[in-house]
Amino acid sequence: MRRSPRDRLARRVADLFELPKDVILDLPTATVLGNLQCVVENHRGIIEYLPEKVRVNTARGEVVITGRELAIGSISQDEIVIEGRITSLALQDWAGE
Amino acid sequence: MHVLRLWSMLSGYVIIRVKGPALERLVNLAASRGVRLYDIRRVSPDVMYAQTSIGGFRALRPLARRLNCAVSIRRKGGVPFLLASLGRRKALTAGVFLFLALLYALSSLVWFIQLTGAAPARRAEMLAYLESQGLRVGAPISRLDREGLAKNLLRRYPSLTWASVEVRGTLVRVKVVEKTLVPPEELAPRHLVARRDGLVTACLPLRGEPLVKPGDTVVRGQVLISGVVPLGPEESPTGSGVAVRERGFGYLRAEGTVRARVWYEAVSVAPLSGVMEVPTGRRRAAKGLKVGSWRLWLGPRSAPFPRFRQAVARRPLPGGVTRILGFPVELLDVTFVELRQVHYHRGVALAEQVALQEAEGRLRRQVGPAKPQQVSREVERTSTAVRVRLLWEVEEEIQTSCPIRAGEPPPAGLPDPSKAAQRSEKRD
Repeated sequence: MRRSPRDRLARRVADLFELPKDVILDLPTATVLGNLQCVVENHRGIIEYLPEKVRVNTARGEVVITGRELAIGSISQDEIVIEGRITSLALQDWAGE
Repeated sequence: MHVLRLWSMLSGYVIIRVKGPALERLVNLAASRGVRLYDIRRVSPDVMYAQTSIGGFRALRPLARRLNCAVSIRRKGGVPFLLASLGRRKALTAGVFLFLALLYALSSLVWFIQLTGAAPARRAEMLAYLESQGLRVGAPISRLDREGLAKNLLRRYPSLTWASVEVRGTLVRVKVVEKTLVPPEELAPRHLVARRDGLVTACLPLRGEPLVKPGDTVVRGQVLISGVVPLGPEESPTGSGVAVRERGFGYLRAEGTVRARVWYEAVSVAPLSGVMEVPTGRRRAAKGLKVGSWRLWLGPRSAPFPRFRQAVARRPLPGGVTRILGFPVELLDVTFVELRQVHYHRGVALAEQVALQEAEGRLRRQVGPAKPQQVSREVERTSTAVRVRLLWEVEEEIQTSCPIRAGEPPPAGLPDPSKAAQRSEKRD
């Protein structure tokens, strides 16, 4: 995904009014709780799910979680909860910057 | 998370097994359709397990068919399924309700009756009475009149001062308190009489008629404060503690103190020569252990000397040992001291001193803690002995209580009953 002029405008507006960027820019949030749980909000579905690796699609790219005995604790339209023993979290094919 | 689990228990849940080629797509599709899946676990490339609600399972099936996935139920749980299975098992359901109903019915009956505080001799009788009043095992608790029961108990047994009936679940606790009655002998009329001869110095009657005043001499056994008092005809007997009323006299338990000067005499004789026993210096010790009535001895059991004095010291082990063992344990230390006879001769002065000491010691034991005054000391010397006579005076209480025998005439010196009306106030 490439950065569009509309994006740049949105970022400026967000900076100017100190609005939360995830709302304005449609950015995903990943909250990691120790190595036990990772909550990805604002996602666009699962690309791949294996016990060792979960790839979550977002508007900007992929959030890749690796670990052991990974399970999807719950999934809804807004958030995915991944549970298990997490070893790493990576952002792949990220658009922009 | 716990709230979620509780909710899934209440609303019912199914654990499903999904088999198919594109499991991620099914998960995404379900999420986008608002079907929530929990605890998704992939066990092999084409099989996964997940938990969802009953509605979620219904909504998931058409989606799975579209993606060529097979969905099967592995487990059902939660209240709706439980109810459904109960509905199928009518006898079990009926049994559960029957059990609850029975439990409720039985818990509303009296099962245990506890009676505390009753005199042992009357326990059985009291329980029988309670039963006749409706308090029996199996009686319904709701029909129990607790206050009425307690009131009836008090009415039936006048020797109770207090009664209460308390319900604790299926236990009925009846508590009663027996009156403690003053023993009749303590109420019986009594005089205060003199314990010794003496000269009265003070007379403080608390109850009864005083018959002596300071300056009077009294002899042993003389009535000091009379338990027989003259009564005016209109006088109320209750206030003055009168137990019996007879021919113008009231009989009561006299109380008060009478102090008097009392004399004590002791005579002691000390011979100028004689035989006495003195220790030779040789001694033998023996030790013993006394456990209950059983004894263990170390050392000589009896004296190894012809003349001896024996001293025994008992050392009980601490009370804790007794408590643990249940019987007392003592250590005994016995000492045998050898004695020999000695003929002695002593001077008059020494003999007098010995006699005096002995007389004083005897008097002191008699007098006790009171402070004596010496009245006279007589010393008589003969050719063989010295004789000492001591006379002490002590001021002390001399009254002692003495029962009035039935039919005993009133003591002499009582005021005339006909004049008692004017005197009654003074006495109280």
